[in-house]
Amino acid sequence: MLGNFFYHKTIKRTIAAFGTLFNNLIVRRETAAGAVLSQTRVPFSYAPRQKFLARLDEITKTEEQRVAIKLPRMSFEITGIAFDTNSALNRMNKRKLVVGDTSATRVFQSVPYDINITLSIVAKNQDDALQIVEQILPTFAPEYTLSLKDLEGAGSRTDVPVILTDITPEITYEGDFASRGIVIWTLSFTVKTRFTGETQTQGVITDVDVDFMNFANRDEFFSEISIVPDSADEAVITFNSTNDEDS
Amino acid sequence: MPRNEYISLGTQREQATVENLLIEALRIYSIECYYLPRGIINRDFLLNEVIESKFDDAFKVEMYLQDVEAYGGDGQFLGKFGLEIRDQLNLVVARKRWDQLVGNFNVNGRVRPGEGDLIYVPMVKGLFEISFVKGDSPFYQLGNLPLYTMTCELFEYSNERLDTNIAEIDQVEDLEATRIILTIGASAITYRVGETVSQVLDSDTTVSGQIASVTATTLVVTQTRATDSDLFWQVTAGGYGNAIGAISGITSPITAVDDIVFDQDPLAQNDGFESDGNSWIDFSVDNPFGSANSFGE
Repeated sequence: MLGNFFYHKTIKRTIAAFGTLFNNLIVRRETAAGAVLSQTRVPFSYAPRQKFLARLDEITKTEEQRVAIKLPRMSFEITGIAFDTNSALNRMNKRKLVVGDTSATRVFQSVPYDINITLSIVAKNQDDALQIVEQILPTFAPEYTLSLKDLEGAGSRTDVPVILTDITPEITYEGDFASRGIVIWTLSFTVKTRFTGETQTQGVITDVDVDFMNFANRDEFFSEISIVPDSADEAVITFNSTNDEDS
Repeated sequence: MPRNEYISLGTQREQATVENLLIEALRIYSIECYYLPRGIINRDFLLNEVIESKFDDAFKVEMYLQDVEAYGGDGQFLGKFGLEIRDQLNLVVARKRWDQLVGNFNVNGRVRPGEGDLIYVPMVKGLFEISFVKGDSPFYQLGNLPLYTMTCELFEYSNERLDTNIAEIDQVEDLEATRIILTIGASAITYRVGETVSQVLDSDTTVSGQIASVTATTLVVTQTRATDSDLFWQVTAGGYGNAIGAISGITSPITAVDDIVFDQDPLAQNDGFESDGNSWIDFSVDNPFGSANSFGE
């Protein structure tokens, strides 16, 4: 691969941010009079995991496993990543990150990609699933925008729209009585994120001399403008002109 | 008359003899199980489903385990929702014995084993839900139907109430139900495991739950209920009262509430997402479309 190693954890950050959106959903069961019979915070997880780890995590319970699964639950997984041509900008744009006295770090224009994420909800009752879905839908119209830190280099703030693109209920109730009924809702999202390349370092121009002369006769010197920082400690982006027309 | 009337398919005495032999064989080769009739607390007549169930009774019945080599079903597998265990069992019970040991008590109107009822099998420490009851096998060999064959699958737990007074059954609820940790202070240890603890929040609202375990300073409470939908456990202050044990009579102020923890659900990453996400989401930006982590609050 061209250039040096870099890894900005963009996808991991997207996973964490997406997970934060849905980590506090509640399912409540009430009587007709409004009294609360039970209330559950819905367990939520990133679906892919190492198989041995899943077994080890459950090992204490598995040895005395008394139930098949605890419901309701939610999980999500990444199903695809595609380039977002509509959001692409000039790749030669540069973004300065840290500017020192003699050097500065910069990154080239970030590249937009769509990350497709599928959120699945499983419940024992339709009403539980409906409670979860109805807590989610009003927030997405159809997008909800997160502001993520450091996605396009240190100190950056990037708006990342999370777009709800599809909702599919799967309620299996037909068939023989020996097979389980299933209530699963699948919500498809597109997260419009941006990937940034290697952070590069370059020197900083600390003073500039401009000479004005006769282009036809270069021995004929008109004037000179010298631009330098006020002091060594001054940030180089606050140049002061010391142009003296008489010099 | 088309059928030979001198040959019988089974007299009542023959039926009773064979049935008694079946029962004797079952009592020799069966295993002891607990039968838990489902009590329906709240049924949704629009969506045709049970919203909330309770299992208050457990009847010990001998049942023959048809599966001799292994569980049926898909077994254990890793799905998108984590580790799932799809074990199935086929259990056989004599119709007469079920009537004697369960049916006669007429719990929740059961006149036969019902789909949706639970069977706890102590040998495998598994709680199984009856998905189908086949009552016609063997099929009228002597003109009667002496057995029930029940197809059961490992129970999908969804906060059902288990109050059978059989410790190993009720423990399922203690481990799997939604848990809330109340910090009480030094007196927590004097509350009793299994008792109901309650807190008066205002004149209309009392919140209560069942103590699953106690430490020196905390109560782990499951099956929280409230008489009003707006309030739940609160730190004792102002009008919010103490935590009162129904049996022990202990009353102590609640100093902290850890709302709905996942210490028994290692696959749940809710809190992990929040701690990671908080370091990457910029909450300082006033986002006109809302703020993350606000659902359900």
